[in-house]
Amino acid sequence: MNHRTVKLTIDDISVEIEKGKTILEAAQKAGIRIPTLCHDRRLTPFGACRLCLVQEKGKSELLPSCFTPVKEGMEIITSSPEIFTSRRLQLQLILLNHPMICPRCEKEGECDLQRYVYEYGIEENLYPWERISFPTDDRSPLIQRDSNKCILCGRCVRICDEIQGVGELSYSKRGIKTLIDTDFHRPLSCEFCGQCLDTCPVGAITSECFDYTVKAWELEETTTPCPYCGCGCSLTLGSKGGEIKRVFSDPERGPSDGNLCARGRFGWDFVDHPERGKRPLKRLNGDLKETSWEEALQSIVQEIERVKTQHGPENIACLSSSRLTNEEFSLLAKLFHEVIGTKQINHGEGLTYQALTEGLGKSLGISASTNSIKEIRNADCILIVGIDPGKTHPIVKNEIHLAIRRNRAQLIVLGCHDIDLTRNTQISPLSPPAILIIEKPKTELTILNFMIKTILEEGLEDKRFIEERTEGIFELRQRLNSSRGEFEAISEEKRKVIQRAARAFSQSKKAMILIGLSKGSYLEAREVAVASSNLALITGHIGKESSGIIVLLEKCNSQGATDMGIFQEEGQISLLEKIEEGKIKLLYIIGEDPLLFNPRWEKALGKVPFIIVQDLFLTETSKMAHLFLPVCSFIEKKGTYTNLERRVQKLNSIRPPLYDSRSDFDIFIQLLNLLEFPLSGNTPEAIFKEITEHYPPYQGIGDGDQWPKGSTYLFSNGFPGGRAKLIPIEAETPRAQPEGFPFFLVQANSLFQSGLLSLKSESLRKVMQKPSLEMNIEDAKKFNLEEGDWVMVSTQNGQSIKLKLKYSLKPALGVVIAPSPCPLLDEGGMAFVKVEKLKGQPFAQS
Amino acid sequence: MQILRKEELEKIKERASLDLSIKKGEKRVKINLHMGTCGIAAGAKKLDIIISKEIENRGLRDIKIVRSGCAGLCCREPMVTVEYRGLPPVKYCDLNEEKIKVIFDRHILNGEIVKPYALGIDLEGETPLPTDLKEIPKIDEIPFFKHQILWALRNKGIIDAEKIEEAIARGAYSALAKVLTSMNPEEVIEEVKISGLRGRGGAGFPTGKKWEEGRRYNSFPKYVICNGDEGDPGAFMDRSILESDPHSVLEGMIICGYAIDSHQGYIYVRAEYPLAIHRLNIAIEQARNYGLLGKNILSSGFDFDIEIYPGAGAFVCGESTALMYSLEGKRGMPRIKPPRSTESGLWGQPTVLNNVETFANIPLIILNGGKWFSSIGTNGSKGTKVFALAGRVNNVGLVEVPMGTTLRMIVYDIGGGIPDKREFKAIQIGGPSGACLPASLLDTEVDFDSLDEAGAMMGSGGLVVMDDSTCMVDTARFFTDFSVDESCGKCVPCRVGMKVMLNILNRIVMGVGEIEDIERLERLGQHIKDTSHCGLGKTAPNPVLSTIRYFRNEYEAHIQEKQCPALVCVSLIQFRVNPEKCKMCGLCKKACPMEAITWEKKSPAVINLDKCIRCRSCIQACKFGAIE
Repeated sequence: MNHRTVKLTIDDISVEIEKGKTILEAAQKAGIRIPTLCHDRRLTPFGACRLCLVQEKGKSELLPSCFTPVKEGMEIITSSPEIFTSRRLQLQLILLNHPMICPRCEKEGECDLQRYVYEYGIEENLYPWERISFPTDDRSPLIQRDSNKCILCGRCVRICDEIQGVGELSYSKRGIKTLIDTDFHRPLSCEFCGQCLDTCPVGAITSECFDYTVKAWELEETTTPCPYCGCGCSLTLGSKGGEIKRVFSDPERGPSDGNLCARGRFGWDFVDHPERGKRPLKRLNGDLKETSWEEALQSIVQEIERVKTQHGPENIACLSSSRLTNEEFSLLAKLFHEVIGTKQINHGEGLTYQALTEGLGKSLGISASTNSIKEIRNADCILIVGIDPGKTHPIVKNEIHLAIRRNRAQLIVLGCHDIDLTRNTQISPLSPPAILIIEKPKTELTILNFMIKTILEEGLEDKRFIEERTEGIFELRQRLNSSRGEFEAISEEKRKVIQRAARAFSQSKKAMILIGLSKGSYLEAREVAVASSNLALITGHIGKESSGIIVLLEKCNSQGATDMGIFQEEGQISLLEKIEEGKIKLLYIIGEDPLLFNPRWEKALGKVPFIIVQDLFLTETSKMAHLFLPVCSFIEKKGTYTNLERRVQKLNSIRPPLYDSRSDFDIFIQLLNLLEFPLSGNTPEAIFKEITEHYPPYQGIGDGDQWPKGSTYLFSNGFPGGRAKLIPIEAETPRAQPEGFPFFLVQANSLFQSGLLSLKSESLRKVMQKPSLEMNIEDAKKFNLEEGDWVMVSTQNGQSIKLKLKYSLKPALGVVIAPSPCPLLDEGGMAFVKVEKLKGQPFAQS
Repeated sequence: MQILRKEELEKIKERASLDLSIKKGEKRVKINLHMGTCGIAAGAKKLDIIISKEIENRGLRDIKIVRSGCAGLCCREPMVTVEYRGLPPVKYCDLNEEKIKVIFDRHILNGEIVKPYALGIDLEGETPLPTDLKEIPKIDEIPFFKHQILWALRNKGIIDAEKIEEAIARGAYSALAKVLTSMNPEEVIEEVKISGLRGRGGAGFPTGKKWEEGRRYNSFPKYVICNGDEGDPGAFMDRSILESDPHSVLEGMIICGYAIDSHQGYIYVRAEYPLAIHRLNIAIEQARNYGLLGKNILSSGFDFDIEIYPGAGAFVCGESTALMYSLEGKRGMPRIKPPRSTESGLWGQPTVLNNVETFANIPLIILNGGKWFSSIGTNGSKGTKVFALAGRVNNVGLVEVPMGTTLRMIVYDIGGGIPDKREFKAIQIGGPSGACLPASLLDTEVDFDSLDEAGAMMGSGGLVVMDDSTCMVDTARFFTDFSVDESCGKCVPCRVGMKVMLNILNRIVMGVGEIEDIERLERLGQHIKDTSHCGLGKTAPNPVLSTIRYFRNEYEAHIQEKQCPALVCVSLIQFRVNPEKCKMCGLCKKACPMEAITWEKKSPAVINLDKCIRCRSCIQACKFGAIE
């Protein structure tokens, strides 16, 4: 027997389980079912429903199994006449005020209460009761609440508080009048993650999308990875006849522990958006006309061959989204790299790949995040660089919240604006307050370098780790010591804050760095990744559980694109410039809509003789296409995505492609066939097999595995090259701020709008906030601007947008935040702007 | 702010003792105004104004006024104790404006004791009693005071709670000085363990053991919390201690902090106790000024500070874990255990929470030793217990008796028996968590274990005496109604089960109960006790279960005979005058607010039911029980 485990018997079945676990957990391990209503494995036990009562053999006391810890030698029985009577009575009491309208409840068939009432044979009511009724709340978008059905198990309250860190719902009133409500009974104004309706054991919180046309038992359940951010949560789609009715997440799959955000839970309705492309279109006499697939594909092949021979392969370019599957990326790479002979594939996320390949890849030897999302909750120090995970990667935000809440983790926020998570550190006076290093953009690198310098100067580095497992410490020290100029700009006050952060980071046991990189991010991807890597290496915070670097990639398969060798050599703006110069003769646009984000593209695209747009929707850009190929959505195709923690997950379709659309995979296969390129097979499975054979990290990988096989975190056995490289890097001298343009403009993602897919989701549009320009209150006062003023934001080159001004405490002085996507940003993800008050209200925003 | 040393504290004590005494010095007369909430409610402030004005008008300089707390006998307030140099102190009671003027003119100015108004003389032994005063009882011989041992209430009605020097003169902070200069934390805990002190908040957990656990966990910071959220209807022990002797509680908390290595204490006190909060604030500030709170207490290097947190009025926040949530700014709902609060309490840190009275006992234990403390009491319960004696008893007030005193002694000797020649019927002990015990159990000793055996519980110490005009079903209904309102709503049995019990009781008092209802109540009550989570839920059915146990016949009368024997439940009263019992006195006619009763001399009264609003005024007025 292990001293960390205890042995006990439950219903005469012996179980061995870790100390500190509960009787309920032991029973579950032994496969014994104990009825519960208020228990959710994600949450700390609560003990409200009193259904899970069990007894010790020979004792009469009833023990709530959900929170009674196991003890050595316990003999537990889960059924006895006393237990049965007690549970029956409990259910009878619950039913007194529960409306018996099961036939018209959307939970029917999977309602826990209904099941127990059935199992325990509860019949008529023996007690005097007058029903207490509560007002229902159907004023909120997406989520409907009916307190009459509520059994007050508190799961919604707890998940919103414990996991989400939001606390939108709480208990209100006392005694029999107790109900779950928002403060002052206002409509919900929250993250709309729907975690409350996910955990509700009865039908008290329901989804607006579930439209009373189907019963739970009619739903077909299919798991597939989420198509939104790089977290790649596993979705379980409940569908009937190929229509999605609801979505939840299987806790056993994916990185999310059964949690989902608003995008994952509600954002899937884009698959049935009316603007979906239905048939291939070809431009004839200036208009897009329907055409056949054969003709469309044939004309692509002809154009490729013509441009290639007439102008050379460098005149062909591709602009691709990062939402293709691994198999599709693999084929795309073959098409461009091998058949056409150009590496000009520009994928949606700008320069993110540089962070992975040139940053982490060169420094550590593997181009990927080092650790897994679920490890964040056990870290005791978390450094977030240049991103607000609460908006971009809500599941990661949950993990950070858990670390703050359960471990009192130290949060360090480095960026040009504060983030909502800071507030979560204030829930207890004992949680260390977040260390905020909020500075103007492009100072992150200097700050990271200063942190490293502080650690080395104060002797806080992990000397043994550095000596045994890294190389380049001498150069790093030398470089940091010689570059006094770099740090001069940091004020004395700021220095103290950074030093505090450096000490906290180096002295913690498990520290993680989260870098956020996405399209429109101003961070210097490669440099920030290297500096983060240096910081993790000198403190030894790498190669261990809950210690390492996670790059928060924007799209569901950004990691896969990198893995499949889609490296771009230059950013999107450089491609744009080439197009403007007339150097691109054939442009293949896959799943991107550049026109929507930057008006410069309109003129540029006019100069391209042949544009292919391959997309789910008839986008703005597709209106300029010479050929439009409708593709199918993620629920209509097969393949794999690799999430930001290297987890490869299989897509499972719930229906064949709608209309006359095809998967990107089929299109590439057919093109490659027409181009007579030899392929190992023409199914996603065959191509995946080829990937696992030819790309070593994917060896032996199956659905849901992290590569290299079995690695939740990397480098536990050392670095691929023997030693990791400490690479000194120099911060670029910041560009001078032009006279008359006093603000740095950066963009921030919204929780509900992350790009093209979310724009086509009616559900997400319902909860989207109105766009506004966030400005530090002090700045606003200085410039005499008031909250709610309409302002014109304009750049040096005359581009401008109009937005409503919002006071904020978040941005650094001199920084304004516009909603993403913002057309004013340059290649580097930022712009210098001026902000002027508009007289009156503009008719529309430009 | 100053930092005192132990020796300096002793000097302050000496000086203050002299100030408190009128035997020497310029002060010749001491007037002790008992200004607890009870005294103030009875009009003590008016007396204060009169006395102060008289003194000012006459320019008297030789009179010392002490504004102290409750003297214990709340039903006889306002009370004033006057001590004239050379005479023993005299307690006057039931005062009003005229009486105080007489006392002022005669006793205060001229040293002439006003015998008719005097309650008793406080003889300290040395002064021979003038023969003409023999007829005034000695305080120590008055039954109400005679049987009491004042430990937790040692300074009750003696010192001005707003003057720390007076507390110091009576020994406050000497125990702290002893602890900080000559004891290590383990010794402190050992002493408390030896004393056998059990938590006075109701559950009776051994205090020393709790402190030992609090010390054992090595996670810092640790907290000390004083639970002053006294919510039982009819209980006012903690309020009285906080009002009359806040320093005893502060001292107990600091000692606890030293014992468990905590540096921060909180007092969670009901916002409905403004006077207690006011006096606590003053006490804390004065203690800080003397360096008895804050950094480097008594130059020992030990730091401890205390903050007050007024509760928001939820009964359940008296439950320790709910209280801690409330302190954290969250909804007060009991938390599951384990872990115990001593391991993970406030903000998840080791926390020792004790009741006001428990802390007030600590300094005595330290000064006199645990053995001394355990010398009185019963086997399992040592020391004394303060009770708030209320209801149908002659002497309503605050009493402190040794553990093991019988209920009979409390009701009849201390309480002076039942007024209006009525019969004793039951004693409700422990508030809504407690039980109603019948006359047959009057010889039950009050200690944790005996009460538990009788199906009652110590609770925080509320004692409500009921006579034969009380309906036990209605009493049970009253306490159940309270628990239904105050349930936090978390767990099913308490939230829903108690409401069902209330519904059943309501139909019984309405006369539409079924005989099976008694069994339903018992079954539900037992279920709620067995399966509720916190102390509130586990004990909430006690009033109903105990009344069924001891007064089942009353339930049966309500259900089967549709009668309320005590004539309380209006639905079951016919409001008819029984001509055989009627003595034709006409008192009922006078009492009736609706002129629904016709009566003429020498004939029985008749009630006109059309006009009757069933207010029970006639029933209360009739001395012969003629109304049915």
